[in-house]
Amino acid sequence: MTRTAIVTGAARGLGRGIATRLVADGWAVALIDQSAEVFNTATALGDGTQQVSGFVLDVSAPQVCMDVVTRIADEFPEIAGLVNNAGIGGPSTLVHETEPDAFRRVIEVNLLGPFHMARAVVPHMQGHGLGGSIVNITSILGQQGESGTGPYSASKGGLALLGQSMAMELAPDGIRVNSIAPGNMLTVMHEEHVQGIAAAQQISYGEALAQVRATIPLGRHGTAEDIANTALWLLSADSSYVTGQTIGVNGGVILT
Amino acid sequence: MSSMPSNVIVTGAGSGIGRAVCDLARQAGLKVFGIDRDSQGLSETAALTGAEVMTCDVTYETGVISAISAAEQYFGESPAALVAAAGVYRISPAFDISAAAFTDLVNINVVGAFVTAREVARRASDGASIVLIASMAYEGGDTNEPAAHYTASKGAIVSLTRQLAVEWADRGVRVNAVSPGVIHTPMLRLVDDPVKAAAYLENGVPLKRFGTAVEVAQACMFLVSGTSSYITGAILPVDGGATIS
Repeated sequence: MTRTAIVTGAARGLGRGIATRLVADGWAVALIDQSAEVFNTATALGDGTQQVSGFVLDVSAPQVCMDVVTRIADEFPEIAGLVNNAGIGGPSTLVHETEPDAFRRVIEVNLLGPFHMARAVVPHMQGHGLGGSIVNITSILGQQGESGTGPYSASKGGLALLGQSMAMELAPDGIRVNSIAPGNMLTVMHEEHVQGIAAAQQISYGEALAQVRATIPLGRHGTAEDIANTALWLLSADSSYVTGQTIGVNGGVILT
Repeated sequence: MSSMPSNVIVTGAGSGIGRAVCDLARQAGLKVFGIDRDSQGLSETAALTGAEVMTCDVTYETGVISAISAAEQYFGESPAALVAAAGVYRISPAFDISAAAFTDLVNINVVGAFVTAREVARRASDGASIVLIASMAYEGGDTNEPAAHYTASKGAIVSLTRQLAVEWADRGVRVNAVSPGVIHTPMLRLVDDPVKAAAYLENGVPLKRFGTAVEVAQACMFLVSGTSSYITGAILPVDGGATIS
């Protein structure tokens, strides 16, 4: 039986990688992004065997989340998976020098976005009675704070705990909620971070990248595929006794 | 699941989680070499799953070395994965645990796992994956079934996992642990009292049921497989949410 997974932030990067993996595994996938690029991504991923469509929406807008999820529920098979991947990096200023609006925007997208999506999706998962699995993409920066990551770290740490509360609340419905905390991924967001290091230390981008790589025990950056494989596992019945947890996909860098 | 290695060594293969890992690994087409000190349980596992087996006590270092070497011969190649499920659970108030009893348990649960992991990593192929078994016991205390030596041993497994992960990363060997909650295996004592068991599940486990050995084995196979190739030093709880409740 084909089931539907919704992936937010799916136009590019990790979200696109997750959607790609899910399509390959036979899921019907609704890709959500704030950018209209998501239509092209959906077209590229669809192979005609199951439903794959793109939806443009800003996850920080609660009513639009409701409306789009209602449409997805009408047009797709049962919604059994939600991957809250959409996120922004936010300001890299020191916390006490950060503009409240910039901080607020990070919380609105990274923490309230998954909340709005869950609010829209959970009633459908409860309605069909087949249970479901919600995966929140957090970050190693939600497990360890760093200088210049205050709003982002707060949003991701908050998201992990939001997930724990939801795991407790939704366990009786057979809905599991877990987080994946990526480490250093080769994404646009991380490239910007590395460019920042290069600029600050007046070294080349390649040197800065190598510097980061040297801190990772497995000696490489993570890929969208690494995250996608873990997301697929958490959406599958193979993780049926796993809920309320965070899986770090970080090449061991959290230990060093 | 894709990206499975060609072989796996399983300790504690004579029952419970170890046997379930042997079963899933055989179904996935891996060559499996099972180790246990319980030769009868081991024969049953061999008959049920088709795993190659060898009786061996993990506290006997030279025995472990021979067993891993035998596994390598059976595989015809370097070991690609280990699931170290050998372990014991003994309930006792702390005041009644002698130094000898404490040492004996740590020898099985910690030293045994360490020596097995060390011997596998020494011979392992690039990309090998080692999975140790912790327990949700490491996260907290328990007055109903006190087992200070067991709890400490599982805390040690968590630290060992993290240290070995960092130390062996440059050999391409990943080390992770699965941390089971209350799993319905022969080790479980809670089921001896159905009323107590029901109360525990109601209050202590969000998913309100025991886990199965198969569910723990599925997590082990995820960590064994190449699909988790960027995960190392991780502790993966398989506990129905018990540790967050």
